[in-house]
Amino acid sequence: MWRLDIHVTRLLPVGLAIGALALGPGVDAAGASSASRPPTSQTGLEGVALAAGSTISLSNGRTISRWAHANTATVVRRSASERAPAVGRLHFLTEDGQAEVYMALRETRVAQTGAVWIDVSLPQRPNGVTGWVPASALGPLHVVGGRLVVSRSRLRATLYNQAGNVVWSARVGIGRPSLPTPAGHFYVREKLRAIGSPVYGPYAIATSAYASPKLSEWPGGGIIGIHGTNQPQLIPGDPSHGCVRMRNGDITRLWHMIAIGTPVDIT
Amino acid sequence: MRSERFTPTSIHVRRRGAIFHRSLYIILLAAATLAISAASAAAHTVNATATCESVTFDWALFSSSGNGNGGLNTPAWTIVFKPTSGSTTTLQGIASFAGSTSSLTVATPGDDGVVTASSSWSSAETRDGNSNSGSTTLIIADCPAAIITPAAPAVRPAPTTVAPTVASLHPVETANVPVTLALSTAGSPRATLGGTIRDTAVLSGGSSPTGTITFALYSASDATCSTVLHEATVAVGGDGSYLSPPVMPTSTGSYQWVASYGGDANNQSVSGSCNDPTERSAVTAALCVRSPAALRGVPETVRNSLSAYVPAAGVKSVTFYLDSRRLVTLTKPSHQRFSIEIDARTLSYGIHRLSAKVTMLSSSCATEAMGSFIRIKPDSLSPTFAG
Repeated sequence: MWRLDIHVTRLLPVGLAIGALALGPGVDAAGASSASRPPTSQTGLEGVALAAGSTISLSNGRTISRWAHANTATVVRRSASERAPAVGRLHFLTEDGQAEVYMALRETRVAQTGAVWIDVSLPQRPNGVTGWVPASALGPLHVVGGRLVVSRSRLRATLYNQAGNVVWSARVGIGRPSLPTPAGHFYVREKLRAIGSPVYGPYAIATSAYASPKLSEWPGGGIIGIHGTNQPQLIPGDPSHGCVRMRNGDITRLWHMIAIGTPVDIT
Repeated sequence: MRSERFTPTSIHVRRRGAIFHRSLYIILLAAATLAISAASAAAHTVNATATCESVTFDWALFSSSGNGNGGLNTPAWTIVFKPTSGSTTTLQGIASFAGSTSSLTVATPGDDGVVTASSSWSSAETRDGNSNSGSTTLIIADCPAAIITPAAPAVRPAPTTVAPTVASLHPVETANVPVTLALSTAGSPRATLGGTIRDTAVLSGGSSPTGTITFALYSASDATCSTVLHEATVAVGGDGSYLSPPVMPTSTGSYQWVASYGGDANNQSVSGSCNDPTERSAVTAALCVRSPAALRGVPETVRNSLSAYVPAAGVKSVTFYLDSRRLVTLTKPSHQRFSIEIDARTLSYGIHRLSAKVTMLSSSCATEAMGSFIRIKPDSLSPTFAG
């Protein structure tokens, strides 16, 4: 079991090396006290301030990724400028009332103004939209390593740790041909203890992906989740409305291993 | 033996053809038509100059009887000029009546403000010799009045009758010694709370001014300077610059000074004006040194409750606010912390701001630490996933 969730200060260095980080139990972002998080000095990310006019990568989707909650309901821009067209707006809550998560992709310091902007991935329809917000619009950055890969062709989900090693793998069910599970680079937005409906099994993980086509009977058009099932006999297969289903034992293990913000690549 | 009492005497004073009748006790009236040239300078400066023009008037028919013990040859007089309105200006001098003429000359006052008046007096005077003092005043519009007071002449006039005669008052210039009072704030027109402010008054052009300068402090919003917040006086010893005692305001704000010179025998009183922009002193909150005090423990997300604290080191008190609503002020730490517990179940889902206004022990200033959290729903629920 592994999980990495580290509080990072806004002052980011150019270097992103995090290889020395030890994987450990970590702390869930939801409900976790900032005082209980490892101090930023343990991240190895402190140092050189971002130079004016330069841009650095915050997440590579494999060994290190950074995410944050919204601090203000700021308009998301197509580029790092207040005059750039809007592509969305930051939200505090997900459709399920959890703290919304934004994957931080890049950071730039505008040469003319010195303002720091962050390029974020937006959990909204259509999938894959990104945009820029002032760094102050986001809360502290969190760091997560590794990724989850869902192969639609192999009907298998695989969790890799930061070093690229497989730490978990299971067969899955995906969306039926008329409601396919969308491909793309997504991330974990929330972790829920599913109650009230046996179709989700004991645990559910929300991703930043949305069903395509839009599902009118679900909020937001259908969040692509990863969850258990009350029909394990359909796994592996393509029985779902776009979600990734797995047997309840598998989702239980995954739920406890995976961290908020972990990249989810659906291939 | 002759009586020492002066008897009332009828006197006729004619000024520019007019005849005035006065009764007096052994008083000789001298009057002058005065033209006042008042020069009002800029703020902080008050000059007043009075000039008496020449005037011819009739000396009174002056008679007395009695058994005076001497001739009215060299009586001593005190001449007092007073403006018909406003402040009193006193010019003192000696009038000498001697010889055969009947003119009265009042000299231009010297720098010391003293006028020496002299006159020649030849006519015999009938007086009873019993009175040795008295005064009267003749008011002429727009002119100072001359008050001539006999000052116990050493030699009593002879018991003779004074013949009507005419006296000519030579051009007389009386000058109220000008005093220029300049006021300006000294040191820093701005001060931080805990510091001091003061005023400076500059006296110049005076005639060896003595007396006091009063420095009064008012709120700048006191448009009429009616409520004195602080007042102090300093002694004056000649022209020069005078500093008020330092004042330490107890609250921030904008203040104004009004300095007043009380005047003396030779110098007019003068006062600065209310709402003088050059007399403002601004007192602002003391600059706070960034303290390490911070709001700690605020989680990013909250479901049911949260606790936060400010480390107690160097901290005097902490006031917590939630979404700008004051929650509590803590003055006693517990376990080296000023802590707060918040039941979040009544809060709406979404972002909330928790702040702490921290007052340090080392100063009266306060710093503010802030944190935010997102209240979220329980994680045990039926997901809204596509399924």
